[in-house]
Amino acid sequence: MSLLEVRDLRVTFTTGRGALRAVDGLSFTLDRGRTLSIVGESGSGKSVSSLAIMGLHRDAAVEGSIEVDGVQVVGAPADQVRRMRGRRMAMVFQDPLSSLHPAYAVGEQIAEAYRLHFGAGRRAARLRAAEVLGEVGIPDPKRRLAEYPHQFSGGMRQRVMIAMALACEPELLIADEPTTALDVTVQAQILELIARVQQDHGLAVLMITHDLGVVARAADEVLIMYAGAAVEHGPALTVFAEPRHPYTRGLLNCLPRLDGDAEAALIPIPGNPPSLLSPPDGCRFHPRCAERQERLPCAVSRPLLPQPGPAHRAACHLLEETR
Amino acid sequence: MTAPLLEVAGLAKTFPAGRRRVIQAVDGVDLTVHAGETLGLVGESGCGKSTTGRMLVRLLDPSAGRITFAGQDITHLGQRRMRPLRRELQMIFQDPFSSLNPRHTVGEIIGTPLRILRPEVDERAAVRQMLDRVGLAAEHIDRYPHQFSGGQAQRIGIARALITEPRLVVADEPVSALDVSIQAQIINLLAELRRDLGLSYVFIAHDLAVVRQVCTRIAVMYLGRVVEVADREQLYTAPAHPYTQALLSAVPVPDPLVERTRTRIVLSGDPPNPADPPSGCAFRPRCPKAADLCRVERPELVRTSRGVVACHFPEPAIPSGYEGP
Repeated sequence: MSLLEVRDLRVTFTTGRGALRAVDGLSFTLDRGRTLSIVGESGSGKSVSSLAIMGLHRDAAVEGSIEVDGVQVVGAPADQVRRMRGRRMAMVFQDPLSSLHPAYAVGEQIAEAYRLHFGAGRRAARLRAAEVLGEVGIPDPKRRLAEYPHQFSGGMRQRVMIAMALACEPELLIADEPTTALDVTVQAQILELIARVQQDHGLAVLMITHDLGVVARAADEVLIMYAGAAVEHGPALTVFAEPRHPYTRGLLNCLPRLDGDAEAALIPIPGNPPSLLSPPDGCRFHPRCAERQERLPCAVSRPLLPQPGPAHRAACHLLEETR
Repeated sequence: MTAPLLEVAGLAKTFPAGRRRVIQAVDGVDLTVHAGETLGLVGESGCGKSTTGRMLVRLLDPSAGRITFAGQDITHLGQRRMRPLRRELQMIFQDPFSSLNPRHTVGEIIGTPLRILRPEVDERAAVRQMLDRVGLAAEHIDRYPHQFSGGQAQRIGIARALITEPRLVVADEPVSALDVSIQAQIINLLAELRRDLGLSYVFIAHDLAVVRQVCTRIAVMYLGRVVEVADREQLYTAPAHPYTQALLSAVPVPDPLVERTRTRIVLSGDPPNPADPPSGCAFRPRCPKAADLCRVERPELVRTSRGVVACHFPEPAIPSGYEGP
C-alpha cells in the first residue's frame, strides 16, 4: 500500500458567481522515499490539492478519498485530522516569513507541535527543537532557539520551516513552492536539504511547483495539472524526454533554458488558461491546443487520465486514438 | 563607434535606515547602453538592480554619479527640463496590475502619457493602433484593468511605455509575475517591438534563462555593484566572476537528464545584508576562492584578459571552441 492514496479528489468553492471546482477528479499515489512533483500554472489546482491532503480547507467542499497511511482524511473529524497533521504529514509553505509567527521565538514554535503530539515536557521539546534545527543546517542551534523569525535570513527561515515540519517525524512532507520566494543560490541549498532529509528519513515528498527546472532536479515522478485536473503523469525522466500531452509539450517549448538556442524565438502557448467558473466543454486545453483535431471530440468530450493505467499516461484524445 | 545612448558613471544610491545609519543600495555602478541593444541587469534580491533601473529613468534621484542620455547630462535635470526626455525614456514594471490605475480605462492609461508628452497626436487613434501593436483588440480601449488577465495587463503596461515612441525602455522584471505559458508571449512581443521600433532595453531580471533569451549583453550585480559585464555568449559559456559561475550553476535546467549529471557549485549562506556589508569584496564570505587580499581590498570592475570583471582571482579564460557546460 502506498503511503498517500488520492482518489477522485474534487474541491469546490462557493463563490458569489457560482460554484468553482478548483480540483476536478485528481487521483495519484505516492510511496515512501519517493518525490512526486505536481506542476501547474496559477489556478491549475495544485496548491488547493495539497491543502486538501493536509485537511486545511474550511470553506470548500472536499469530496473523493485521501488516505494517508491507510487513514481517511476526507470527512474525518477535525480532531482526528489535527492529530495526523504535523505527526504523519507536515507542510512547508512558499513564504516562510508569513508562515512563522513573528512574536514567538523559533524554538517555541518548533517545540509546540512536539509537545502536543508527543506529550513531551518543555525541556524535552526544547532539546528536540535544537536537534532538528541542527539537522537542517542552522549553525549554533541551541542559541538560535531563542531568536525570532526576523533575525533569520530568507533561506534560514525556510530551514526553520523544514525543521518544524521534521520535528514530529512525519512520513509525508508536502512542500508547496518551497523555493519560489528564494534567490536562486539559496534555492539550490534548500533543494539539497529537502533531498537529504528525505533520504535520511525515508519521507514521501509531494513537491508543488510551477518551475519545471525544480522538477527536473528534484522529482522522481511528475504530475502535470491544467485547469483543475491531471493531464499527464509519469516518471520524470520519460515525461521530460517524451511528453505525451500537448500542454506538457507546449510548456517545455515555451520555457527559456540555459542550454537552449538563445537565437530561436520561444514557442508560446497562445491564449490564457480558462476561468474555472465556466470551463470550456470537452478538453479544457482544446481552445489553446496546437494539436487539436477536428475529427476528434476535443471540443465535446473531456479526455480523462486512464485509471489505472500505464506508468506514463496522459489525458488526450490523440492518444486514445492510437491506443 | 557611435556614442552610447545611455552612459552611467559612479551611480550610487543610499537610503536612510534610521539612527543615522544608511543602506548603500547602489554603490558606484558604471554602465553603457548602445542604441538597439538589450542590456540585462541581473542579480538576486537586494543587489540594487531595481534601484539602478529607477535611477536610469530618473524615478529616483541618485546620491552620486552621472547619467548621460544621448549626450546630455540628465543627472540633475529638474522636472520641467526632464519632461521632454520622459518621452524618450520609459519604464515597464513587474506587476502589471499594481502599476495600472484600476479606475482608469485602458484608453486613459495608455493615452495619458501621449496627452502630456505628445499633445499634437490624435490620442484615440494612436491608442487603438498601439493596442493592436501589442496584441490586444482595439475594442478593449474602454475596458478597465481588472477585465484583463495578467499577460494582457502586461501588454497594456508595454503599450503605455511605447506610446510616446521612446528610444530606451527600462523593463523591471516584466515577465516574472507571469505564468510560463504567458511569459513566452511577452518575451517574444518585447523582442518583436525592439526589432520593429528600433528600441533599446535595459532588462532587469533575476531569471538567468530569461535574460539569456532576451539580452545581448549582461551586467551581473552583487550587493550594489556590478561584478561582471560580458556579451551573452561569453557570460554564459565562460563566466569570469566566481559569483556569476555559481549563479549559472544554481539555475536548474528543465531536463532531468541534464540536471542529474551536472556539477553544481552550491554557495553557502545568503546574500549579505546591504546595511552591514562585509569588508573588501562583498562576495568574499560566500566565495570558494576567497583569500586574504579579498578581505582587505575591494576589487574594482576592470577590463582583464578574462573580460570585464571585479575579482582579484577571475576564472582563467576558456579556450575558444569550448562549447560550454
